[in-house]
Amino acid sequence: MPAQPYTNMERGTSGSDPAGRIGVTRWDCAVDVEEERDKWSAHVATSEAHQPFRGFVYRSTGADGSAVYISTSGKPVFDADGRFLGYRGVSSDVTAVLRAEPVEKALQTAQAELAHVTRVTTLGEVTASFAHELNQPLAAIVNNANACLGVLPRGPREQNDVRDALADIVSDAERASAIIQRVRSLAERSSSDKAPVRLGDVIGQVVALARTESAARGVVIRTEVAADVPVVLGDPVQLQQVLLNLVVNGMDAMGIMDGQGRLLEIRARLDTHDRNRAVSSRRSTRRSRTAWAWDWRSAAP
Amino acid sequence: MVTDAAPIVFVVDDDPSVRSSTERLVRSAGFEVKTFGSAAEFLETPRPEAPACLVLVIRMPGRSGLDLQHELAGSGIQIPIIFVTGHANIPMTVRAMKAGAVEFLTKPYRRNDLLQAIRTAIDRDRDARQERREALELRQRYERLTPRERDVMALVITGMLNKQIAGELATAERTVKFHRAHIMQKMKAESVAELVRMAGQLGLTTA
Repeated sequence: MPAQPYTNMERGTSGSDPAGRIGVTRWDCAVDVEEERDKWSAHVATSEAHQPFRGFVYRSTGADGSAVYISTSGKPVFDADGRFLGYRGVSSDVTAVLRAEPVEKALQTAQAELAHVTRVTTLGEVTASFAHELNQPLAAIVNNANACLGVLPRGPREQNDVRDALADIVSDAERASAIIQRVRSLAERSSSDKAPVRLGDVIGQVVALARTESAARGVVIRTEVAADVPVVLGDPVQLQQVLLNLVVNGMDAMGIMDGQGRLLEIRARLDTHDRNRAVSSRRSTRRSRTAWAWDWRSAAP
Repeated sequence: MVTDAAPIVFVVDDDPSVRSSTERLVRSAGFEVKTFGSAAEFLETPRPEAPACLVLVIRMPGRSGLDLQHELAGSGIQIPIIFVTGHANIPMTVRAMKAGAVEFLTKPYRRNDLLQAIRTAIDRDRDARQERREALELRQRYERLTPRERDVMALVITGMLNKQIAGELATAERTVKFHRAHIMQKMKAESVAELVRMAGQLGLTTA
């Protein structure tokens, strides 16, 4: 990010062209004073109280007339007697970062969608199995009642009552079964689709999805896909979702670190010793270097 | 004509309560029923000689109903199948029906739907058994013919006259006449037309 040294004191200002702005106040070169009165009045109050400020963002106009966003931070400077001399600070052009925000929003939406797919898929599977389990006893109830109806002779009124009761048992059990079938067919639409998947593709897609986020957080993502990783059977969307969650968790965990050395490694390899398919996360610390690494272990076929 | 033994309905279902309730339901309609908890159990048990059908559930642990259908067909066991499932989908239904299933019912089914399917299946099996018996009987009759009689029969069914046959086989017309009488008697054929039909059933060419 191109950090421009602050030009001068209170009367000085900064922007995409600091030299040309000497003698101009921030609010003179800003173009959003009218639209964001609250922000500006708070900022003016801070300045008049000679308080420090940090990361104040305003919109200005670049040399080519396009909108430019400036983030500025300043500390008040006092002389030996404690008299206020002005502000000293830095400003930077954060236009590129802000422009990236809609992309970040899209990323978050994609993440939310993936999470939803997982929940719905699980729900669909649970429903299908639940429907099957419940339909079995209902079918047995219908069969048994029908068997009774089949052997019960027509006779006195009491027996006709038994017949009616049995017929009601049949129709009620059929009704219950029909409800289950309806719920099941609704859930079935969202069942997962297993297909042959290349883990390298999944990792590539996740890294692409996380790119904006990782860049904004200063995290370097390194991937390593062994050549002998086989094609596995799975739901690519669900696999993406799992890996993306791990990546986001890893980046969250590295948030407390200094900007330097944020490294996230994703490795896919064939582990012939471990027959369990597993995704494991590991955090390794080496002095100033801390990294989150994922090992995507795939069982030998 | 040989009369068949009493028909029998085989039920294969892994769910014990569905199995026993199906047994009661089928028995309530007057059929003899035998139940099995798995496809393997059904295959291992010897079946009596009687018109029969199989009420088979699709989803089972181990061999599925469709697998069993495939296996029975592969080993030449002909038994009409009524499929029963909790949840049918189109590919499953198509596969079952293409492989010759009599009916495909979704649980819980109506009493009459199952019983009607069972009656259809048993009728079909009875007819098939009758056909198989007749084919066997016909084969046995044909095998009682002498080689010479078979030669004559091959020509008789082409519509040749005795004289023509005699010329073809370089023998006397009287001898052919004699053979022909024997063939008609041994094959229990009333007419040449019937003999031609029998030859068709035996797979003999009339060329």
